[in-house]
Amino acid sequence: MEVIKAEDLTVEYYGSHFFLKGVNLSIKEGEIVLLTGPSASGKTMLLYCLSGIIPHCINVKTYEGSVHINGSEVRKTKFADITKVCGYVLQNPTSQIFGMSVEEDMVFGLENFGIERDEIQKRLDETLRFINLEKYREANPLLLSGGEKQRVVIGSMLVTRPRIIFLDEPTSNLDPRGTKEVLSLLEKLKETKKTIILVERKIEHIVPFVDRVIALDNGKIVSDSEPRKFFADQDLVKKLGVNPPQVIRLAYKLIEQGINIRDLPMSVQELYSMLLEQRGCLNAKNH
Amino acid sequence: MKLVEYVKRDSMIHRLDPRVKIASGVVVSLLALTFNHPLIMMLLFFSVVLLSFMAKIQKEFLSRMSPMVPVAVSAFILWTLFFRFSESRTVQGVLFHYGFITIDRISILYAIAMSFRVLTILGVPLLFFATTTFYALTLALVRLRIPYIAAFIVALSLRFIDYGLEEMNVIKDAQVSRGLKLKTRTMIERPQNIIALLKPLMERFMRFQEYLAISMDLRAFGALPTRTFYFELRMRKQDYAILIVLVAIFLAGFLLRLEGLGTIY
Amino acid sequence: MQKIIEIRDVWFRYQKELPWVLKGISIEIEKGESVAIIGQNGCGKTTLVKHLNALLKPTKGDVIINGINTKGTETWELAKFVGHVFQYPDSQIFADTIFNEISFGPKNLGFATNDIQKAVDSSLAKVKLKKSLDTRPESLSTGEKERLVVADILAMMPEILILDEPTTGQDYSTCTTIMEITKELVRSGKTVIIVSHDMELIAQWSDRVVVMSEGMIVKDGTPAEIFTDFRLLQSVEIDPFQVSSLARLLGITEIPITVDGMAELLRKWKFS
Repeated sequence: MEVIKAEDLTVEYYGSHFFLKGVNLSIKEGEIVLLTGPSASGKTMLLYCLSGIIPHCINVKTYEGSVHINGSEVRKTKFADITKVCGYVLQNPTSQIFGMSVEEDMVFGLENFGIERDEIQKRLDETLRFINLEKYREANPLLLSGGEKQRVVIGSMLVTRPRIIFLDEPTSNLDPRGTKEVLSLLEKLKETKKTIILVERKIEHIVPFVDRVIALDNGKIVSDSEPRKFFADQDLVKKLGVNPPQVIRLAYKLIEQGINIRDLPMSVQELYSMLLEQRGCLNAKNH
Repeated sequence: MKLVEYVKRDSMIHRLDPRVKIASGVVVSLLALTFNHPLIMMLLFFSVVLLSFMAKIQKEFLSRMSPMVPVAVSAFILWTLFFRFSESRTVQGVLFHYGFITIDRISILYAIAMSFRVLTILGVPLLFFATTTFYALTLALVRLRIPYIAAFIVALSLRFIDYGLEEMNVIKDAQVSRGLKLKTRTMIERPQNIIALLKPLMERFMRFQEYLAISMDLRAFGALPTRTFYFELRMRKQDYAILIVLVAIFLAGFLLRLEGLGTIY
Repeated sequence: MQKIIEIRDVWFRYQKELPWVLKGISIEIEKGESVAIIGQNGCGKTTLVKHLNALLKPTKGDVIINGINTKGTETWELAKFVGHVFQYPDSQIFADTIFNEISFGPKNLGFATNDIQKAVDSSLAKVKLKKSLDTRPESLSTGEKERLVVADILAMMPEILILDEPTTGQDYSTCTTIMEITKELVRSGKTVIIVSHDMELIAQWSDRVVVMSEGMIVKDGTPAEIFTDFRLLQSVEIDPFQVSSLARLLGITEIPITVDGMAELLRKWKFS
């Protein structure tokens, strides 16, 4: 079932050179999509358009074409209705936290939707368990670590039970521990079959987690395929200035050396198995 | 340095209904404005300090009050030098006179009263914010019939104070590392120095506020005309008791003032 | 080589009632070294580098910069010797033109007018920022702003350059440009200290890595020594490089930390 559709989307910001040109795409329920590309390629802009942040929260000079979420055109739908189905996590946790305690922050969205107190209580308990922050229930979120803060933001987003989740570089400001915490939370989210669309730079860990990579360059989509196929196009990857995970770069080198690699490995485990297989074949040949 | 941040402690004052705390703050401020006898002013100020001890936040309170001390001292100096009580009345105990400057016994006492008044009036909101969360303040304003959006914006704007102070520290470090001299002998700093501190602050501020506004929309702020409140305010016996005491103090103060007491002239 | 930074048993806390942030740190850095400091947020690395240009002074112990004890100096006095680039460019960019922005530092240091022009031109060239001098800093992209703030500090011609998370939030090409800049600086005899979470860049570009945890130095060595010490990495919750983990799985005894290194090892392993 299609949840998001963009048709001929052409958008331009005021006073800068950022733009999108003629973007067409379709995202199905449960897909996990990574938007990537060099700086100023329009990936964040696209995320904002697909999620309704453009045009509702950010004014733009030009907006042509359309974006539909669950069949309703974004421009013609009230943003409050869009936020009922969509959840958002942006880069800087501090500007997304409104409560003096974790629970205060998490109930903010539910209160705004007029949800009944009992229901709020139920969802609060459930989500605190999910994000594994039960012991910080009454803690001041601004005093928590970066990873914990971002988990609070994710929790506050999850309580409203969105079906589509948009993440804008959720780990860009985090240290290694925080990045791991957030990524494992995303892994858990994958199991809930929600549709997830994210922009992320630290692609090394993200790559095994996504179904689809959409690459932008200069406002246009230049690639839209599953990760293995995307990385297989070495020239494109280089042109976009994307730094693939080490195992993929290693695979490139091995291919150069003449080793037969059918599909690019997405993780250390995969490359390990591939190499053993290769060695096995070689040994078999030599005997 | 945090100025308005909530300090979480378990104290009777923290547990008071925010509406009662607002009322107390108003009464204390009114008393501070009504009277001008230095002893009464000092009493009021020390009551505020005593309350901070009762709220178990005395350390934070006193450290947040410390930047206010220079303000109070300046008030003292200015009033001592320039308050001309004795102009049209019989010169009573003039200690020093030169041109515009007149120092007499009354003006010194008055100046003391004024500085304590300043400290009291600045101390009351500090005490309030240290013992009341923004949520509680917002809810209190809503229960006092102020529209939610306005109440929320008031509470949110207060957050910017501490954000600004923190950012200022970061900016100061960055610019000082570029050779910016903050402590110069001459009182007149190069204007460029001030811009070097203020412009990045404005920039960060604008950016933060933009993001905050977007975040509010993302959480459906203002989506519905009525929203639920998960946490509630409940007036308890202690709250009513304090209210009664407040009314009594206010009336007593009012009457005393009418009788002409508690003033220095 | 000459010792340019000496940190002698430094203990630091912000106030008496607060816990120690730095607990007995001792390091010596020689002129011309390229040092990276890594560790989780809160381990004290930013607090430590703030001591290098006297933004903070040790509660106990001493910090000696080029023979001068920081306890007797102010940051603006050290600015001609130690340059400190902070994390967010927006926290320091304030001027209306690139020229005014970059010349701020030199002006504060009392450079002569000719020298200011030279300093601006040379630092713009070093950071490879090809923009005219009257461009407005606001119109620059994030990557360009990052290079601008590095230029701001380079224009003061410091001997020591501290970069606090210069690559966080930057795209890959900006990251490599920044690292190239530091490499050139080190080649010309400057000392560079980087605080970063970008382990791969550090492994490629730094000579020395100092690992911190909870206010203490846990290990100090070459990138190879640090990033192959699996037990250390686990104790500070840093994942080993994918190639390192792969080598371990394959039973290769020599653990690589770069893709090229691994490719070489695999060539040999294939036929073992």
